[in-house]
Amino acid sequence: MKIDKSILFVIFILFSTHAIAQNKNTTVKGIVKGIIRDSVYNHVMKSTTVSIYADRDSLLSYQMSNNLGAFYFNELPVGKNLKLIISNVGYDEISKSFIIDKDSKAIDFKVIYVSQKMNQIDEVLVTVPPIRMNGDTLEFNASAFHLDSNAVVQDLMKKIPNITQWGDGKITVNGREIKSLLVNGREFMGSDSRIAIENIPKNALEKIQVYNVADNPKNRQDSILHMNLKLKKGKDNGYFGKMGGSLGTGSRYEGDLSFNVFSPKLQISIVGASNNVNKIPNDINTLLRNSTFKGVGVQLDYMTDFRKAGLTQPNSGGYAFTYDFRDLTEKKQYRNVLSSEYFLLNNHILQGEESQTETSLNNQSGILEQNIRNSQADDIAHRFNNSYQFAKDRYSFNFSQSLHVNNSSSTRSNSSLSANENNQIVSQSSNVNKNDEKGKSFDFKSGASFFSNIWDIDRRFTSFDLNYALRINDKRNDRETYTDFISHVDSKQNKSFNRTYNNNAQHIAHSLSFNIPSMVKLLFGVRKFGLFEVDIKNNLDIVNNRERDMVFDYNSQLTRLTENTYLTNNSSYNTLTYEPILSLNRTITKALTNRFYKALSFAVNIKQQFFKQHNTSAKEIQNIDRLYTNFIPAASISFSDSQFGDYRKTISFHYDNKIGVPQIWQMAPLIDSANVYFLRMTNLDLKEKRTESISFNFKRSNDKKDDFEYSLGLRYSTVHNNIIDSILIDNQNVRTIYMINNSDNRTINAIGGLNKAIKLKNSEVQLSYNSEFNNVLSPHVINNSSDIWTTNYFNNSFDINYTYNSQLAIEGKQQFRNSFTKQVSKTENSFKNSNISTSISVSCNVTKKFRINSNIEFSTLKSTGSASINYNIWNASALYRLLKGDNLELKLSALDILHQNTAIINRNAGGVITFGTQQVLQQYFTFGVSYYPRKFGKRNRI
Amino acid sequence: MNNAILSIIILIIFICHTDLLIGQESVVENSNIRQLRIDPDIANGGSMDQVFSEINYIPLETTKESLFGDITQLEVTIDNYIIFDQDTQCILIFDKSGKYKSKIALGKYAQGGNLNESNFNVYGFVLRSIKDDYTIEVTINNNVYKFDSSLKQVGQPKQIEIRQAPSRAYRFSDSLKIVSYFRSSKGKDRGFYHYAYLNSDQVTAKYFEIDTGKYSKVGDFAVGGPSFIETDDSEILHAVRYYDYNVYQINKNGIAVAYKLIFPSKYSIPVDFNTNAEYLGKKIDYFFKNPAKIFGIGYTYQIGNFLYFKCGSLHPNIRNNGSFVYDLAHDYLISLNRLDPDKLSHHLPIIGSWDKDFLKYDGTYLYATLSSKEMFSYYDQVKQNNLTFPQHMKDYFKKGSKKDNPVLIQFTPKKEH
Repeated sequence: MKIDKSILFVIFILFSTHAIAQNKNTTVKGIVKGIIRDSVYNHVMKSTTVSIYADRDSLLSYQMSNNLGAFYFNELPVGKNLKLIISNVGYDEISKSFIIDKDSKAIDFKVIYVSQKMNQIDEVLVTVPPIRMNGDTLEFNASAFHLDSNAVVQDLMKKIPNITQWGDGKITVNGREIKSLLVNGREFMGSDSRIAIENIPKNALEKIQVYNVADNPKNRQDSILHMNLKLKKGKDNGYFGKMGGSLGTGSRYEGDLSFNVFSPKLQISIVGASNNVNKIPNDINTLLRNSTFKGVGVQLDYMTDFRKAGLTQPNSGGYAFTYDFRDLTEKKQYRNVLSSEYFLLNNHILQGEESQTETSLNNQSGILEQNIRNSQADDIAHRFNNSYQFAKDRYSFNFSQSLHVNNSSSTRSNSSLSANENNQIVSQSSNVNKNDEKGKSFDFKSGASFFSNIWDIDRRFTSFDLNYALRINDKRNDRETYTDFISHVDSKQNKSFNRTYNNNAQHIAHSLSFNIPSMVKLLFGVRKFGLFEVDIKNNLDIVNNRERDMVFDYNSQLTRLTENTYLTNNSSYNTLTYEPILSLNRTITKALTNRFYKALSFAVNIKQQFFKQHNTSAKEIQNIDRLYTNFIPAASISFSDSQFGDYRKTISFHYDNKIGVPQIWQMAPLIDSANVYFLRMTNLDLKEKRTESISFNFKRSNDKKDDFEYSLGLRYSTVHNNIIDSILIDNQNVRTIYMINNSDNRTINAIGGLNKAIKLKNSEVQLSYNSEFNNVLSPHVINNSSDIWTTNYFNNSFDINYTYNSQLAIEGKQQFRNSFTKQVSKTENSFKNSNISTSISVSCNVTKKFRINSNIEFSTLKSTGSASINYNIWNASALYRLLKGDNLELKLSALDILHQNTAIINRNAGGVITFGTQQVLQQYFTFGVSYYPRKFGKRNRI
Repeated sequence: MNNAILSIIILIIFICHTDLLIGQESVVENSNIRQLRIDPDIANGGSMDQVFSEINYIPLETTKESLFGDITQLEVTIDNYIIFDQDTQCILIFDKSGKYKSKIALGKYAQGGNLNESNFNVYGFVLRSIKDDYTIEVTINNNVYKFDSSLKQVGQPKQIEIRQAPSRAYRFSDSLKIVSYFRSSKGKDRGFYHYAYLNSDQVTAKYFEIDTGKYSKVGDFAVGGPSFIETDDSEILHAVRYYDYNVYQINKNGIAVAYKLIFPSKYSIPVDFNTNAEYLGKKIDYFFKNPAKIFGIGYTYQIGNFLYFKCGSLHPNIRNNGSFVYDLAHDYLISLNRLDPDKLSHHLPIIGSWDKDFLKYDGTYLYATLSSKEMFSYYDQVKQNNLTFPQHMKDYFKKGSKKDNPVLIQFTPKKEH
């Protein structure tokens, strides 16, 4: 099936544009206007909610009166019964029924008088206004919006023109990003806002509150927009969750369980999932997010990742618990939370790969290798984390502890066939590895910060913070390897190994940091020296690693294992890193009242790193004792410009240095002959590498109602004395590798993106464009000859998302990835690889209970030296919800309907070109049933 | 809210000057207090002519040279408006039509040219009239610089020992004056007083010692405005204190409570707010936790039977409806925020953001200011109504933008209703 996807994409864009135009054309232009006045005290009523309802109380439009108390609606239907309702806190509600005349198409109510309530103690609103300003808080009242009884908060947000929910979960209100979403003033089931808005029923919600919180009162631009979902009285406890299972062709199955209980202070989640379709949850949050109820609106389906290599069967489960001790009425504490989490993940992974690798040699044509790799692995990991956080006005502290236990066993087999430049087979090998690993690690982290009263600008002391972390790790690894190597050039080189490794490693790391900002103020007093401020930071890391390696070879003559005295080793590796940092910084601000606020900040970090490396080993060559002393300065300049009512932009430059010291395995590895194609050799002259980078970032976002922002980032980095492989390839294609220092490298990276949302009366269009460019210069040293390869990587994606009411959602995505690699000295040695994919996803609510989803992705892969490969993946599902509360869901899914999924391996790493295929998930069909138990509040089960 | 916080910080800078000392206060006269009950929620609106007989708008010319932020202090001479702007640390002179004349960039007079804002303390200027001419005196980091009316520096700066830069003085006669934010550099009493009377430089009375002890170091809220608030009697001034709803009357004999404002309990601070140790060091927190409470009053100009005042609160109800005129003859409360822009005000608003009020009463006119952002925001809402603006305002809306300099508003206040 060959479809030109670009044409398809253009058709989709035309469709979207047409839809926008349709939206505009269908508006009926009836005008309603008037002015609201207080009748007794004789003044206009500003910020008063005016709502227009059609028959059966369905909300048509709403707005707040302006500074003159005036309102003006211009898109109302003519000739129909309409109702105007005026509401304001403390005032009697005014309701007026009217019909806009078909001829004049306008009604002017002139002055509408309202009067204050006589008794303001019990305020009972007859009609709840959809929007109102309550002090500085913008409130959207849920009950003013009529939605299906099974709608969730997300469905409500889609009805509110001021709120945009983006594809990545970000929420913006009038163009400004919501940084924190709370439910009744507290975090809800972790930090992902989607868990709250896709689960909480709209009917349990009283109002959505949006307000600014000044994060740093000294800088008025640091205010953060918060959103709070205020639940109706009595709805602040309950439960919700999902129990689901599906079976499919080819023994495919999926099962998941999520059950969450909440009360005002306590939240508990219990989750579990098992499948054999590559849906691997790495944490509890992922499981919670993928099992949300999602209400009645259209949703683009969460699909299996067909690109993922191998077949994985994950089983997972766990719980999360948080208790927020705060009494929110007292406002005495900012944070007082105890949390605990346990997560178990068991993966059974099958992977298979067939590939051919060609390695270019200088002045020669390449050598070829054919590899067949198969592996299966069973991993089981337990994670148990607990933490406590407390914060008040002047201090905060936190403790956290985590225990990780990992057990994994795997078997990997690899058979290789290696040919020379004349295509003659020179060697072959087969290798089987059995690996069994058990690891335990314990982490403890603690931190405390103290700060002075922010209002006390005359106090010398600003703040200090102290952090300590401890990690204890214990690992045991048992490995058996069976290797046969046959040389077709020199039969004396034939080798066979049956080697057993027992490795025991203990790791203890202490990390301490102590920071005191504003030292000049502390030592010399307030306003004594204004040129710059000095912050002092200290980082100390002490690490001890003990390792015991026992290696045995099977002696076929003695028919038993004998110790390999060369590879058997005991070692102790200790490091100490101390980094004193003096940070000189200054911020210059310039403001014109009601015009702009600009801030220019400079920081220069004078940082010295002392890295003491001490290794003791039974092998003399590994007894290494070194001190690396490096000056690693960093600097940054940032500029922010807020033009009130227009835009905000930030520009920043960063310069940074990082040190990477050579590890023992890089300097003095023990040469394991069983690794027949790769032999690592010693190089004690290795120096530390230094990564030097400079970056530039720019971001601009509008302060206006239209959601529009764009950003640009540039980064240049180079690694001085980078530690790379120097490879010697012999006539049997065996690689002998020395680590060497080399500085012939650089990386240039550029990223850019823009987002725009267009809100229409019944629909919304979101556009997003992202682009990334990488230029990498990297050396490859083979047979003592250095070749510089340059790689240009270009990734462009354009995404357009269209939703129409709660009935239709369409997403079109076009992605173009291109990489071009060439040898600098020999331009004919070049390799191009491009991947174009176009996908269109549709979700449509055929009826209130019945939804269909379809997603098709067309991919084309073009590479130098091979014909272009086209493959299309089409998935579709039909979903039907039953019961009054839509609690039961039946779902029929068809995945990879066209049966074209093949995972192509196609990569080039500086002259080492690999083609191949790997085992992936392919076509299957499933039928699933899910039940969503839901209760919000004591009485109503939903 | 952002403006609110900025203003609070400015006020704290104003007020947070410390040291713990003990002194003796003079007694405030309170035998003739008039109580005024003020409920902001039921203040009256209506037309501008209830309070004013004329209103003029003077856009202050915007050029690259004359661009400034906000009018922190306004003084009026026969020909000119003299403005101090805290944002740009400049004193600017505009003529009566709003045309820019000249300015002094105070930054270049700072010691060693150090322009660091934290080291550069200027709180305003003193205008001294000499016959038909005047001089301007500015204290920059304890040096008094003098400029003539053409803004040329006169003489060398004079070093003074004023530890409290926002200090102001009002002269009743050649020998008798009252100063605000006073701390004596002589004698045993080094207390810090809100007001002190000096007769031939001898301290004769001291009022309202400011508790500069450890607990008040957390700063205080205040409404802002001048230390000495003009009335239509040059012998009588008004004064206010933070966390206090009294209007104090200052004359050459001493300080007396003239009016006691009583607000509904939902807006009022506890009666023991200034004496109960429970609130020490927590006063600012109290207002963040109880934002509806009024932390003080200010701008209490008295003109005829009208008492103007502004309430300070973090709550938007008061921020948007906090400037009042009390008709003392009829016990009638008018909210300036609720007056309708009408023909008298050329259909334009008169009161803007919450922390602004009348900048000056010069005996004839009251002066206020609105930012161009506020003016253009208002204009955008009414431009389709075909209102008639004066020609110079039409030009302003046509050629100007929301980033222009503020517009000065000159009111002729009525003395009675």
